[in-house]
Amino acid sequence: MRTWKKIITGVIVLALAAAGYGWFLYQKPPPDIRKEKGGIEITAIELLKAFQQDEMAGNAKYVDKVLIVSGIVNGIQTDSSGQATVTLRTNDLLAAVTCSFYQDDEGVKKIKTGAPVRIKGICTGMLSDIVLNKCSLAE
Amino acid sequence: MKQMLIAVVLLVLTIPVFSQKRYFTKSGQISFAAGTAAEDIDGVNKATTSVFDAATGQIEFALLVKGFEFKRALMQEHFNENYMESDKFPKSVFKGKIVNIDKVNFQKDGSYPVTVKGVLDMHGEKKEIETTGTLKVTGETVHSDASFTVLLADYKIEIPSLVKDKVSKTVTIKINCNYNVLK
Repeated sequence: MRTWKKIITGVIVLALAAAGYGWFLYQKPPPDIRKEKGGIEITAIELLKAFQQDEMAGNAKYVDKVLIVSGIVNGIQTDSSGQATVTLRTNDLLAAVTCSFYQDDEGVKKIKTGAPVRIKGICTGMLSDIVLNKCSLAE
Repeated sequence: MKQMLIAVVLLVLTIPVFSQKRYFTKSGQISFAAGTAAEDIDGVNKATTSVFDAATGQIEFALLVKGFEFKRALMQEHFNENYMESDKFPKSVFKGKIVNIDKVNFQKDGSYPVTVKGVLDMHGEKKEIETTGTLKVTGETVHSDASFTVLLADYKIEIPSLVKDKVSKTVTIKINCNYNVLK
């Protein structure tokens, strides 16, 4: 009888732990890229070149990865909600690296058109530009 | 005299060319909502490229499926892996036309109702879409707003029976773009 009780208690505890863990996983927010350590260092020019030469290979190598892209700022656009988008210059007049910033990011205010910059973000692929989201100013 | 006449004619002919403006954005926002009463499911893409021609009304949107941002990590994973299969279909594109573009006066600030018709290419499937929206002209910038629904089954996006009551069969897509003149 006592062993039965122990087994039942054990099963209930395990079930609760599993449910709790499941709930934790379910509620887990996406990682804050600003707090992620490291990242692949690359210049805007090299990044565009890699995708233009072989988009599939570029996708495999860079998409979903944290990148730290360095380049010259081509333009900054901030909309009324504070959402900023920074474009980096490349060797191609028609293509840039577009970096969509975290909405509340303060670092973007320090970025100036024409100045060199290092931006950290997640690569999402190539449209005509290479696109990064969840961006912030790299230290 | 004849030369002057030719010069005037040429000048008049070039005016329509000058007014053929194109507007574009690289930071358009497209969001979707696919939740039910049981669960809120929504994502937003803040790096949508869009361009339209103020003379012909031709309009295009393109986005990277992996660029959708979610409140929960697991939702983003399921969206990419199970529903949109974004490794296989990384981009979604809409190509169409603002059919009543002639009713929009880009010289005069204001909100103009528009109707857009075209084809949405998503998850490897192409379907005709028609929706209404507004173009808001403020000086040299134009803001577009539109909302429409799509049926997931039309795009061969399957909902596993386990989450049938959580994921809606229809998805509401919202468009919110700020355009500048393409120089």
